[in-house]
Amino acid sequence: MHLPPPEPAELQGLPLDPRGPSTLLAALCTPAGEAEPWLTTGPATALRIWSRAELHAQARRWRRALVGVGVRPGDRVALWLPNDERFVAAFFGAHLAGAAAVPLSWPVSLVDGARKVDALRPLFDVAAVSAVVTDAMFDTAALGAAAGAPVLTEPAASGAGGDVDPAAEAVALVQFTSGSLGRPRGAEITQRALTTCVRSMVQAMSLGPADRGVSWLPLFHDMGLVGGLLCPLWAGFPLHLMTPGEFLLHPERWVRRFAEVGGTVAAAPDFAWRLASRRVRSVGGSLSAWRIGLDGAEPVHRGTLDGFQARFAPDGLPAGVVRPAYGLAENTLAVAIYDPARPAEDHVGHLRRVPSCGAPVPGVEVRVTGEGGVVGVGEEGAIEVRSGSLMRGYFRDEAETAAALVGGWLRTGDLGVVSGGQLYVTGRAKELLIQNGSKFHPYDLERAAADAVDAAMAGAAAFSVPGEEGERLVLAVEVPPAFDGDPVRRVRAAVLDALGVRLDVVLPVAPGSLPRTTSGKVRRRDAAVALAEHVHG
Amino acid sequence: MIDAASHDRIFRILSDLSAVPPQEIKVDDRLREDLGLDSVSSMELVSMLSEEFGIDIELEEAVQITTVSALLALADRRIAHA
Repeated sequence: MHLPPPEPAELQGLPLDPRGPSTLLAALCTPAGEAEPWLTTGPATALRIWSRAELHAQARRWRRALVGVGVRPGDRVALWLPNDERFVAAFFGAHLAGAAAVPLSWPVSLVDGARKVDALRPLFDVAAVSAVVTDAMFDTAALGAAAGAPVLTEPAASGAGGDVDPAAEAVALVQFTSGSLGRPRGAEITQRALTTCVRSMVQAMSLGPADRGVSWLPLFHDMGLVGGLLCPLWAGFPLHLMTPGEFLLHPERWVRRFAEVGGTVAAAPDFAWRLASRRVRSVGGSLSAWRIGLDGAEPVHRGTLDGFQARFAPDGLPAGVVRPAYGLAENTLAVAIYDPARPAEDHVGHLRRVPSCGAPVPGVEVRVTGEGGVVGVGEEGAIEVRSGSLMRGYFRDEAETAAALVGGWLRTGDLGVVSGGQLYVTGRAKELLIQNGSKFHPYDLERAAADAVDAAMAGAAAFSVPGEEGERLVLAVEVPPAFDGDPVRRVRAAVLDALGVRLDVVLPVAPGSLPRTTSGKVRRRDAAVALAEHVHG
Repeated sequence: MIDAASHDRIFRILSDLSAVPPQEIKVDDRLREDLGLDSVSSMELVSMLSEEFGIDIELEEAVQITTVSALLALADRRIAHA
């Protein structure tokens, strides 16, 4: 007797709605309402307000300056700028020159600028940019030397001359992420993919002119750029843009801004929703207009969603606002967004309860695969994605591209389960560690730890375990008997110093005690299981 | 100088964030190297201080705080003479 084959773990989003502006530049230049306030920037104490027409004029001046230093269609322009109108204008200035924007991580603190310029070198070595746009507060000579390209701190006096209308297949954005061994690799996103992703997200959330965005997310990161900035632009609603620094220092200002301006939509990593729940004392108004708060970029915890809702319900926050979302730079951004109108139970995995990330957004297909192909519903496997917003590939990296894009499907490197028409993201096959929305390769942490105990070849294993308050980052390191000093303190300081990562737990262990493969590589997952009791004890 | 009660409140905040007992925190400890605070938790530290004492600290000022003594000096300037 044969059992019927299990239903395959495949999901398909709704068809994409073809209406709306054909490109993001077209959205920027739409004449209707172009002189009205669109973007608000600056600290709460000194707000600046910009219309689309003003930003377009500024973008044309950047285009002229970029062309003036030799930028040609198909080139790349690095953007190292604060989270405000300067980034927005230079981003579209690059597009008007036919070039791709390469956003670089802007530091919260400007202290120790020389070191921050130095930290960009590995990325510049890969990105081969034709120009860097930055703020004048850095040593532009050192920056130019690191980039091997001219540095611009001011746009041209006028925007006269011709704008390029970039082809749909031109690269619009090279979004850098951390590759194997922590080497930077840039996901190449075409103009068509960028517009497709924005169109899909706007449709998934029914965003429109009545919405109001309030975002502090960094524009150099896909969630802040595509979700935070470009969705409001394309859907035609105002955006109140804050900086990550202002949010971290004054989480209250983010939530208060919602009450002040009738904010309806935002996105943030899991840690930020917890920080706001913990730190905001008074809201100063009603949050009743708030419709959508996406929780993504980190594993989503049930307690975070429920905690934020419970904390702000007395302030008028409607039910079901904060919801999980799943996306990655290689798909431009969104893959799936939870819809409270289609409720789903949490998936109970072996390590944690996983809230549903909902169904794929329009135009996106998801499947879960194992060694024998697509697995059945309810079975864990590797998440693969196919859509019109997939990256073209990793910039000048054929090997990584061939490993990621196979037969038109993107291997996300994440593990998941399909059940009840919903996607649950259960883990990360790539073993990337995530803290405060930033991703790190365990290898980098392990090497920094080994150096700190004066044994470059020492075994080490970095991994994360779910805790009460989000993920806990753990690093076990084999400390040689000759090491003199406090290994916990030294390792913690060295990892912070090299990578800016705060380890929750450092476990010094005896040399040779970590589980290894036959070829001598430390097995992180086995180490995590073996050491679990010490982490919680 | 800030009073003993304020001093204790600051050390309690430091202890909450760093998980180092208050009596083991020294005035010349560095937030990053000695107390293990990363940039996000250093920011939260200054943020909690500003709320605890009802003072307004701006970002430029906050990012300069890298030691316990700098934190106490800031508190001294802004609380004691407020």
